[in-house]
Amino acid sequence: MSGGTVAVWSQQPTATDSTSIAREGQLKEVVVSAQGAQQRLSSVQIGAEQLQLKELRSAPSLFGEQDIMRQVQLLPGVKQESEASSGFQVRGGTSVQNQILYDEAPVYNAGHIGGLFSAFNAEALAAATLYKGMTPAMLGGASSAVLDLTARTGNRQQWHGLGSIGLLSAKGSLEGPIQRNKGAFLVCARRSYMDLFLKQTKDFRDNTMFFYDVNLKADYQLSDRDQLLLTFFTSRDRLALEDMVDMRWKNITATLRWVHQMGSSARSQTTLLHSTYKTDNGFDLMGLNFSYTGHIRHTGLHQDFMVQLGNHKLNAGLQSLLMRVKTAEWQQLALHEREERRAWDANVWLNDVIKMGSQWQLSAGLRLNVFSALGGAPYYDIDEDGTIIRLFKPKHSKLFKTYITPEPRLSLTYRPTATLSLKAGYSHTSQNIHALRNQSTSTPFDRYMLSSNLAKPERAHQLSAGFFAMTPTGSYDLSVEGYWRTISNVLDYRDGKNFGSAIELERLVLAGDGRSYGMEFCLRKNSGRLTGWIAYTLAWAQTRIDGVNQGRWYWAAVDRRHDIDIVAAYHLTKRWTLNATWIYYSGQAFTAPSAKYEIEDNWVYYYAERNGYRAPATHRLDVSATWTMVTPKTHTTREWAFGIYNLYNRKNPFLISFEDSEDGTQTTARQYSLFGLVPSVSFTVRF
Amino acid sequence: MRYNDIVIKASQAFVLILLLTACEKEVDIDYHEVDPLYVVEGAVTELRTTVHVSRTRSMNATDDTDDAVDNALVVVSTPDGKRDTATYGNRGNYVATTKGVAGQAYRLDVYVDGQQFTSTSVMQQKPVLNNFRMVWKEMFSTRILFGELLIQDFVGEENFYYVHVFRNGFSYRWTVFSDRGSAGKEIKQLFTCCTEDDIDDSDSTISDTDVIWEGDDITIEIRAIDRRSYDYLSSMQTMSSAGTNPIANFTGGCLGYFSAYSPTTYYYEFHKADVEEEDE
Repeated sequence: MSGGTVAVWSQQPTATDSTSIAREGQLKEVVVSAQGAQQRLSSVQIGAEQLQLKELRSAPSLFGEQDIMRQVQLLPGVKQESEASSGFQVRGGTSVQNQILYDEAPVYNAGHIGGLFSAFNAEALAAATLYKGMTPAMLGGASSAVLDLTARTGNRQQWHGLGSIGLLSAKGSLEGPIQRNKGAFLVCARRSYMDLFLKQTKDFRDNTMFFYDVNLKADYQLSDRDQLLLTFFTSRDRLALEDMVDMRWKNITATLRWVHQMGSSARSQTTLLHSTYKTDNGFDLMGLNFSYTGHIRHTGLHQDFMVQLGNHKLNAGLQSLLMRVKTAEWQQLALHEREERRAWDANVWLNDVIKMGSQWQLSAGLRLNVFSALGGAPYYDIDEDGTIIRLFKPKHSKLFKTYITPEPRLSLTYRPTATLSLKAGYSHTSQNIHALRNQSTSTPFDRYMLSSNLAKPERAHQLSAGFFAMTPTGSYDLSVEGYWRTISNVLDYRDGKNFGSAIELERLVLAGDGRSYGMEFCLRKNSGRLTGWIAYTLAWAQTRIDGVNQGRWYWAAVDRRHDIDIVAAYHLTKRWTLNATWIYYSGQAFTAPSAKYEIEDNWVYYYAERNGYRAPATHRLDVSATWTMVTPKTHTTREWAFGIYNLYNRKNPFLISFEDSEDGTQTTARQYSLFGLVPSVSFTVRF
Repeated sequence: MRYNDIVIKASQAFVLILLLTACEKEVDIDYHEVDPLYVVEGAVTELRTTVHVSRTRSMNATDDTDDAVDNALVVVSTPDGKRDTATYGNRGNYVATTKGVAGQAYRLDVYVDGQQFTSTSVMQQKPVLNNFRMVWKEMFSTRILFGELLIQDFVGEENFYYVHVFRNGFSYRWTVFSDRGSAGKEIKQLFTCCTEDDIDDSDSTISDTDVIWEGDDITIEIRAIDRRSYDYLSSMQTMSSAGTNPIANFTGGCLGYFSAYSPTTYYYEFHKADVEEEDE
């Protein structure tokens, strides 16, 4: 598969391309991705996937919105959360157990239209790597996967830009030198425009529905050894229905990085970062009004040192974050409740990549996570029913509860021949921000909480092994990976509780264990007119929590046995590229009733087992055709992209509900499907 | 509508919005058979004690099978230790003469096939309905019919309420709520009915069970209930979205609940001309 990310997106890369400096650890993976097979064989880290961002331009997509998260969903070992969500699930984990980093800053619930599209503008990205739970020591904070996104820097020599319009949104970008060969900037912006038309209609003029996102990156070469980089990202959504509903959510991240070269073989990267995710919702129906808000805020310092010593490539660092999480604040009439807590999250790590001869390579590291729940907010003890039996009010400056988690990481590669490598690894990861959802998919209404005296850190262990082979020219390559993952302190609802039952989330949930295992196969064709891959994932995921499902193991909500993703691109002519994606997902685990009974003249269902049933299988074919015309005289490129989502109009399951006849003699199960055949078109001009 | 309901409904709004463009179809589910469980529904009112004992029904049942249990021993105990054994009537219904008094705790024991199921409940005061009316609310140029209740909360205590609306004698809407946020004040409750178009359209395609027709009899029963009853009914109200069972109200492993209450009942005959416009 072709597609170097930095080379393509910077258009005219320079030797001092700041993206490569900022992510030196991944640089080799990025720049050699045109020889992706070679990279997949040689990289020491097992369970890492480098995304081919170039393919996003022509890949078929819902409503024509290019979406990196939808591409992530097509990788082996990665599952789509639902058709309505750009969220992804990795190796038995849930989407809220993933961490998404945008130039080091964590981003939560980064979705537009309730998660239908991710908020990441593909034009603003330089590189993306997915770590499927097997991460080097410098990454942490997630009990499942880490998606590490690197923002693209501007061109230092020339001005470039683009304008694009699709069915849902329009976007533009501009980049150019701040000072020639010294620094550059890039700004990308996207906004939906459907609300402009809604305002013209009688029925919808009082409604508001829009989203936008803005990405900014600037860099400046202070000296031969010093460079400064600034990254800013914001996304915002608003949905207001007349005077009844007003829902808003937004993300803001900002990072300021100083890169200092220390001699020829050592470098320091110092990053100040801030991240905010905020929801703000209000409802008013005939005088019954209600509002609630929530947020996650991180502010801190991230320090990396990279040193090359002979065969050793050392990375040492530390990260210190002040976390603020407002689980919820709600107001209804005279009722006002609020729960907000703070924590200090400190990490130090050391990772060494060692080359041992020409065939062996080892990456060994240790990350130490020290998490302290801070005072200044109430904490509780609860009884077995979830009732508060003791209240603590520690002082603002007190470390109320501290967890120390050593997280060893290991990955070993053995390459007996130039076309074959064997890899194995072990990873221990932890997560101190817990999320609860009311749906099976993430929405802007998810509630978050920090680890506390009651909620312990989620801790995951993963073992993985696989082999990678390619043809001598790298035209084809095959990967097979297996994994075994266990996790402790995962949360699920108590019977009869949901996420709005109480302000104190710890009272609504019980903690238990999870386990998942599976195999991932991927065959890729990397060159020629036809490129693409076939990925197959065979997976199992289970959960066991005392107090849920009679304490027995049950299928996790993410459990799905078979996933097949076929992705193909065909370069028909110089101007036309055809793309197709076909997916097949076997039945998703879900909970259905096993008996019914009558209470208060209503038929009520009895649930004997959690997630004991399977939804019908999902499959879908998406196609697109892209026409590209380069005009050398004006240095412009015009691009038309035509797509059809769900070509054969398959009604895939999104929701299954049950209803009964008045006399209880007939239960009807109804399957709701979201999208039938959806055509799309977009036009882009680049200069 | 409680804040809890609003949170849930708000989070589901996205799903509903998406479903506006969605389609639906019936699907076959291969339901797993389980051994029937006992279900007990008991009530102590100021008139008498009634208890219904039955078994769960198979999801695959296609006829109105008899789920009633006629061999149970049903005993209601009063605070002074008096044990009143209920008499079996028919179709799983048992009746005892014990009458409830506000503030008193009652215990229900059901013995059947060597098992014992026990629950308790504290009798609450008779609730006060200040006003009921039907109201039009316009949304997206469509007028939607709401029922609006104004209930006077009791001062000085935490209260829980259950409201059950019947249309022509059949269950139509129900809800439970607490007085959080309105303690000691008037509590407003709304329930949705149907659109004006549904009422006007004699060929309405929506389920007849949702449309209120001219002349329909509306009966509203309001109960003040204790916390244990509230926990059961509240969890039953949200169970369909969570896929979990209600919080157990009985010990011994049966389903159902027991509640002592004194209901207030209000009768209303629906006439479209009586429906009021939403207050500006």
